[in-house]
Amino acid sequence: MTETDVATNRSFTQDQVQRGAKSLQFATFYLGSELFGINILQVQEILLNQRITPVPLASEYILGLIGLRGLIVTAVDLKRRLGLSQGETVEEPYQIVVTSNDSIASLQVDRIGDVLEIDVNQLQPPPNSLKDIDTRFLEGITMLKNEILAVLNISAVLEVN
Amino acid sequence: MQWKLVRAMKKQQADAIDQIVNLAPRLEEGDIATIGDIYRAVESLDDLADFKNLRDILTQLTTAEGDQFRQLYDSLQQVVGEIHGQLTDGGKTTQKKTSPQMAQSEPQPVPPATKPSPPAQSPAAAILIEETENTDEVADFIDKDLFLEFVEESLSHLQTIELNILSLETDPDNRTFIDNVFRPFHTIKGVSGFLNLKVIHFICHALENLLDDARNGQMTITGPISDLVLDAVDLLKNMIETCRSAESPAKVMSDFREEAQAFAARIASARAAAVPAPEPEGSVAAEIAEQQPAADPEPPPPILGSILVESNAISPEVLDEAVKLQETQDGTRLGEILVHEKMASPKMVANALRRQTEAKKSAPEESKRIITTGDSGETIRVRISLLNQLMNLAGELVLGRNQLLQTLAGHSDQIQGLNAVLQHVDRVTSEVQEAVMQTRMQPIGGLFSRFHRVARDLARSLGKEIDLTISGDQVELDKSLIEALSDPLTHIIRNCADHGIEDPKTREAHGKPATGHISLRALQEGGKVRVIVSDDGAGVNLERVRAKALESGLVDRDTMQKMSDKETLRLLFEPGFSTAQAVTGVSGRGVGMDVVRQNVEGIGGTIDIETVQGGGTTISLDLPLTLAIIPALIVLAGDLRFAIPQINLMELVHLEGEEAMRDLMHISGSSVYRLRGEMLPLLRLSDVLELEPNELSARQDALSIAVLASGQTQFGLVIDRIYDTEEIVVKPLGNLLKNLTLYAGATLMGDGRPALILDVAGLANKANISLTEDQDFGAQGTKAAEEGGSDEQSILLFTVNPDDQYAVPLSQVSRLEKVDSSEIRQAIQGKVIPYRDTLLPLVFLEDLVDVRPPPEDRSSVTILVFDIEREVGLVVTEIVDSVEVSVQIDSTSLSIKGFTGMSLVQDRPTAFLDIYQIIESAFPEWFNNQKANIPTSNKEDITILLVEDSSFYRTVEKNYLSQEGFTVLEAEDGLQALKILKSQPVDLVVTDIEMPNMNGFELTRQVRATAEWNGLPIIAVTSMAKEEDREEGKEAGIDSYLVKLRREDLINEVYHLLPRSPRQKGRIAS
Repeated sequence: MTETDVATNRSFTQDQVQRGAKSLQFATFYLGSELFGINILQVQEILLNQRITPVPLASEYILGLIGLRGLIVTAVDLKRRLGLSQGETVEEPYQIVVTSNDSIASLQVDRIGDVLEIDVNQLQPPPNSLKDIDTRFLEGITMLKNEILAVLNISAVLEVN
Repeated sequence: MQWKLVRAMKKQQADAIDQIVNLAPRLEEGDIATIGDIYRAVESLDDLADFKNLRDILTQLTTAEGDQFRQLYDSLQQVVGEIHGQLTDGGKTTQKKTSPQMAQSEPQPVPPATKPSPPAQSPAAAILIEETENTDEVADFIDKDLFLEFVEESLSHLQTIELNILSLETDPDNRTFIDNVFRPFHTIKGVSGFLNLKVIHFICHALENLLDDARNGQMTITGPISDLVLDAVDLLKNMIETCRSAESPAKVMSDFREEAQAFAARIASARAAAVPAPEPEGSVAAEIAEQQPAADPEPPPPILGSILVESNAISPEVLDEAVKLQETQDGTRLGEILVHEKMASPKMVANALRRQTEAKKSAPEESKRIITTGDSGETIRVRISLLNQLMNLAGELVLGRNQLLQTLAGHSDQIQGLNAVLQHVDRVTSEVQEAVMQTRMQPIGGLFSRFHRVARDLARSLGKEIDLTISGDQVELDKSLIEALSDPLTHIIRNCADHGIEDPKTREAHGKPATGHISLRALQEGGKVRVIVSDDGAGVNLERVRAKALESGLVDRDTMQKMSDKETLRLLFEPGFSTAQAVTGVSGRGVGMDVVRQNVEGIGGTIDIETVQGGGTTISLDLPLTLAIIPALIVLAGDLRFAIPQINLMELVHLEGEEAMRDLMHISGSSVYRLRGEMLPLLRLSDVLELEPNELSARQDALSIAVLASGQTQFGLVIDRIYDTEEIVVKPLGNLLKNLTLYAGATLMGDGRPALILDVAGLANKANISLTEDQDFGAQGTKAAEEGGSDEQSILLFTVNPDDQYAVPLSQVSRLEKVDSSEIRQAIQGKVIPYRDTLLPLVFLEDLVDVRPPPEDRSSVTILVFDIEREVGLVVTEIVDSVEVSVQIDSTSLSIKGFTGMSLVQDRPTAFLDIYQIIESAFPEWFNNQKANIPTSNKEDITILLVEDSSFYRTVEKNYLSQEGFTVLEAEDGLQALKILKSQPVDLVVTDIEMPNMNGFELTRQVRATAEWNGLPIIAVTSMAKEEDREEGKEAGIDSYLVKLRREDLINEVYHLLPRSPRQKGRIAS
């Protein structure tokens, strides 16, 4: 494995911290009542009301395909992907189009939150168990006033095991 | 040269020239070491047309000796001075020196250090070797792009070199070829020097020295020398390729240093061996003569071309074409080509030649300029990712256009001129898309030309003589496809050379020319490109293929016996197959044609092979034009659209109505469709994809089948609806979906929504349609068709008791249903099973005839559904197989009611059922209503002539007729039938159509032409259902046309026609 390969396997945020970033910006969103964040540099755009072409026989967390200006983007049911209990589906879910290592995908979420700036020092490694989520998908957590923000490791989310 | 590189080099240019000028006095003082410094300084000026002279001089200077060195040195100083003057805007120039041409009359004293010495130790070379010992670091300011440009450019230069070396082997004295070898090396040397890739620089330099000897006529580039150069090309390729992927080119350089040193030593010794000991005066004279262009008996061709272009006699394109032609026709003058190809008139060429001679007299050095062939610098390199982006955007533009057209369609009345604008947008959009697609296309010639080298090397190492011809090199294919073709084609050509072409002695012994011939062709056929590799070698030895296949356990003996030659040949594409008797270094290392097939199929292509024993082998590849845009069939399954690549699509079949459905069968859960005598396994797309059924897929009375092929596997895909064919842009699926082998990608449809592209091989795998099954169903049918074996029957094998095997003709079975034993009910009239809305009456073989009973504990049974008078089900225990066999039914060994006879099928004794008899004995009441008007009370008096070449059909049909009580006479063809007709009275003729010697049509014509047989009823029974055949039959005088093996139809028709028979009429009358 060459050096560059190693670098791409490291999470995006870790990489940024490594390069000396003091604070990081996260786009936040809700799955049910839980708050999550994605490094804003990995968010390409947010979509509403997308028509999705289902992909028969794909994993259950795959919603299907979205046509996005000439690109074909895989839409992921993030709740199922993270192993969160089904929860009730929202009427108008959002699609967050994210990029990671040249690949692009769309994550379906319930509700969009604010963009938050978090001090690097506030970011803690994820605990062993959190909100029933498979922790390999988490990059870290941080305590906000009333809630916990769980930061997603997008490359892990988009990685097929 | 790319602009970035040029810009980077400009920076060094001025410094370099200053350096040269500063070094010049030291050089004059005899400090020979400075040549190396100057040389390196000049390298950074390389490939800038302004300094072409300087470069040429320097190049020669590095190898020059004695007087020549002196002269070159003088002109160097002069040129340097001039350049310096120009750069400093008319500033100081170095002292004016005589030009080399003038210097020849007044020889200068020889500088002490330039005494004749072995060429390998020329000063510059010595210094370069030293240099490579030092730290190798690629200059910091060189970015990755720049470096990659060098890599791409150098690789293409090496390709040029290789081609020209090969050309030189047949025409060693051709200056153009020598120059075309020299120049690219020189360029690589220059750029590698600039990039501080010292080892590459060093090797190029050593080669340049060697090649210069050839330019000077001191050696010819043949035999060991061309091997040496080709090895150098390989070494450089290797180094450059390694550099490309490496983190640090400098490290690669040091890794290769030893190899390079050794190689340089090889070059040096080759030079020492090839170049005669220098004789100063003689060689200088020769050198000078060589440099005097006016002394050439005829002007060199390229300059003629430029004169013609400048005087507008021909266009640059025509010139390029002519130069290309010239490259293929060794030694032919450009002028001759132009006149011969009618590209220019003889007068124009003559004028140009005159002007050329004049021009040369006034400016001799001009004639050294060489027009580079083909590549006139009109191209730029563009990143593939940029092209992909453009392609996406173009696709998006098309969508936008579509939406625009839709939105505005209704408004053309209200907005004036709208239509014209829309049409314009429409057209331009289409053109943009087309042009963007075009950017990915490359001529296949670049790939093809590589194989000259491959063929040559193979010929050498195998001790054979091989001539490779190439055609169709202008055919364009997607870049990624061309790259993917490289390995398979190399392998195929290796196989041709190694396994195909015989050694010269064997060839001559067989009356063939000693030189074997391999031809490599490309042609465009519709939306496909076909690449054909053929050789005139020994052909594939089928016996050896068979032996090998048996030995390796690829097929068993039984299967082997059933395989046609063509199928046997296709075994070559099976994994782990190689027929080379000895494992050679060239091929036969376990990887073989199976990998080739995989590769070709991987890019959506197909591969086929044909061979003539002793005459050669032809392998053809059918390829899509591009991976990016493919023609596809859009179909609907459930509510989803899918695209099926056209290359996999053989045909579309639409079945509607009961008649058509007869060819459809359901065997234990899976369906089979009879397509022209072959059994085609069917898959329903919505089932494979586990989609919710909708009203379309639930329809029973109509079916749309796409007949698909992937490699040897063929199957029918049942789809809910067929849309149109469309050119689709193939887009890869994201990582998250990569593990789904059912899809080859996705595409965006006209409405902007994605649709999945089906992977036909993946579908076949998913549904378990394997090659073996395909052979059972399809391939043997093909074999039968090929051999014209009309005796081949599709039969269904089943058991009641596991020890007994029974058979029925497949065509009589309308479908199979596997059911649970518990579903069978006892009704008043017998056993039944609920089926759809009715109850299906059931027949049990063991109840009707004396056979061994079924096992007591069977929990499920299979029902063979027949449609005779009514639908009826025969309950059996297990379906064994469905096979195509050639059988002779022995009707004597089993003359029990309900059976046609016995035969061996798959080595098991098998009883053939007469299903009509069985059903009749179970339900006699069904059959009693139709035999009313028999003209005679004694049916034995009625004689029917049955004409049928297939003994199977003859046996079965004879049974039908004799069971009715008729006397049946048999004939195997029309001729025999005529003989019988002449010898005894016949009431009615039942004849097959396709027969040897005399077919049914001809028989009928003969009967109709004979007054004696006037009015004789003739029934034709045939498997041919074509309308024109019916027409022909009617014209010939056939009374009735029936499908084979339909007993009730035949019997009904016999009863229907018998009253017309002259004999029967006579009887009624009497």
